[in-house]
Amino acid sequence: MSSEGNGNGDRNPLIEVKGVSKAFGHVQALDNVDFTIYPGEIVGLVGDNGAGKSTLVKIISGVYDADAGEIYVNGQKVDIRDPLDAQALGIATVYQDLQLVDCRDVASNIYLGREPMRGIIINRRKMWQDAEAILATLRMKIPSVRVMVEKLSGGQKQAVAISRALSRGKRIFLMDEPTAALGVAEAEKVMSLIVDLKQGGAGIVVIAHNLTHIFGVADRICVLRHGRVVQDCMKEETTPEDIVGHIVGAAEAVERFLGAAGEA
Amino acid sequence: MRAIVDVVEFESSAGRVIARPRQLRWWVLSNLNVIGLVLTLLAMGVLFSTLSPYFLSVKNFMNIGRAVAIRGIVAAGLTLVMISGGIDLSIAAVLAASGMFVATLLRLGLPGPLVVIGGIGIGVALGMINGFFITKVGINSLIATLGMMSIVRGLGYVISGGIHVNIPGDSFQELGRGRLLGIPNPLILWVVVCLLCYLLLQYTRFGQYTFAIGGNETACRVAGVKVGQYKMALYVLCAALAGFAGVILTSLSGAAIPTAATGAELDIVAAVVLGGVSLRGGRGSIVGTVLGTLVLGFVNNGLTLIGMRPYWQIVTRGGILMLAVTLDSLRTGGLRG
Repeated sequence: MSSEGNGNGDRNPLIEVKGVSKAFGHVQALDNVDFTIYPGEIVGLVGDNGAGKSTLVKIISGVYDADAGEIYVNGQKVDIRDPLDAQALGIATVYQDLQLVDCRDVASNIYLGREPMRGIIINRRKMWQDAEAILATLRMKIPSVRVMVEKLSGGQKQAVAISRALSRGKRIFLMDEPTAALGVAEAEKVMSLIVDLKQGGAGIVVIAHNLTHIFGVADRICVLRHGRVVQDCMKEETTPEDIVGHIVGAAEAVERFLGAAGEA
Repeated sequence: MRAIVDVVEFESSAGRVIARPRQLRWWVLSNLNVIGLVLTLLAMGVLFSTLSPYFLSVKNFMNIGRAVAIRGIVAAGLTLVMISGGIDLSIAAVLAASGMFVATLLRLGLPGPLVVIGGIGIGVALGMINGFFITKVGINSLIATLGMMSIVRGLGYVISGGIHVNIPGDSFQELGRGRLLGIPNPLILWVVVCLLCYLLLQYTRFGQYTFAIGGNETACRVAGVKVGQYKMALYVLCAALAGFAGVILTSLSGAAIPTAATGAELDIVAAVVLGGVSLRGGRGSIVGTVLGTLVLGFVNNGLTLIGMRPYWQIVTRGGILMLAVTLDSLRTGGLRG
């Protein structure tokens, strides 16, 4: 167990992202972004649609290659070229679109790419039991781990995606909209799970549009706008209004307001 | 959205047992396609045996088995490729090319076992070319293998000059014409190939990822599955089986024919689709493909026995395929409004 969240000054970061840039054609998705995750900390990553949140998560998880910049894990410079590299470093991701195989069962999805083996044969019994155990920690109702994912509700699918991350993550969890498809009660469960992970010493990044959720669990809030970090501070140092101001571009908004007032 | 599963509900945290869906109903629902095919085979059996006294005999069933075995072997390989969401239209051309290659090797005086390996090897090589264009260049599998189909078929004509090549020696012909315990060898080889493909599909990582890649390729990539390697292996395996089928056909017919199996790729695709493999990938089974292959075999055999003219047989086969696929789309999601 690590000490509680605040005051990161004297601790070593789990992940340090330095000067990362990424462009898709003419669109600069990320522009010289610095981003840090400390152990035992939940970082709320917020921003408008297209601000670069998902791109940043996908670079850290090895789905995209950055055009420039460096990533350090536990102080070591790392080269994350594909999702396997990220997994080996203990990074687990819940993607916004969940990335589930709908026509396969729950257990197969949770263990996709890491099936327990007995020789050259997949040990399905162990896979089912382990999947059950992981789902149990989520305290979410899933009819059976042998049911096809396509037969599940949106919330249940989300639970499967989170279970997959739990089964392979060690210390770093990146969660892109983990509560988007969930009802109030289910979202609460996920949020309390995230707090459990944090208390176990993990570093967690949560992307969410719901600022109430973010302010409920985050220790630090980082705002992206047009691919740049425009705000990065402890939760206590800011307010939801301030964060919204940064998300929509407060300075520009004020300018627009003044301009409009001048015309009137 | 509401969960639409009819299974025994349980609270994950409470139970340690693995929840089992209600057994019988579950089994029936998840095997509707297979049940439908078995019923179709039975219905055709009844129909043809009342119309022809020859249909219901061991000899005739052995004939059906031998007639469909070679296509069945290719269909097993194609099943794997189609479950992964791809397709291979070069199979029949590869089969013919393998036959030409085998005949050449035999004429050079190579021993039988080496010749068999050679026939499979030419399939492996052609499959690697398919796999290269599909996984490295990124060409759609339909287009890539359509191109290969034409190239390989054409080269077969170029090399042979369009004429068939007789093969020397009786020992090699034993492979295709011989019997084991009264069962024709091709039929036994078909069963063995299907069994191996079944085990591969159901119990290994290769099979697991074949389904998963067909279901959601991106999900496999982000989960760390080496999608490119598995797809390459799939196209190699499919073409290797087509090559093996070419070996058996050449042995059976005593000659390599450059026009062999022309158009058979579509019959084989039909058998696989009839067997319940989704064209979009992610679904299907070897059992289904075997049944689909048998249905088409029954149709060909039965219609001939009852004296239907060949041209009408082609029409009937098409009609059966359309009917089967229509029923399947009704089952899996209804017709489009």
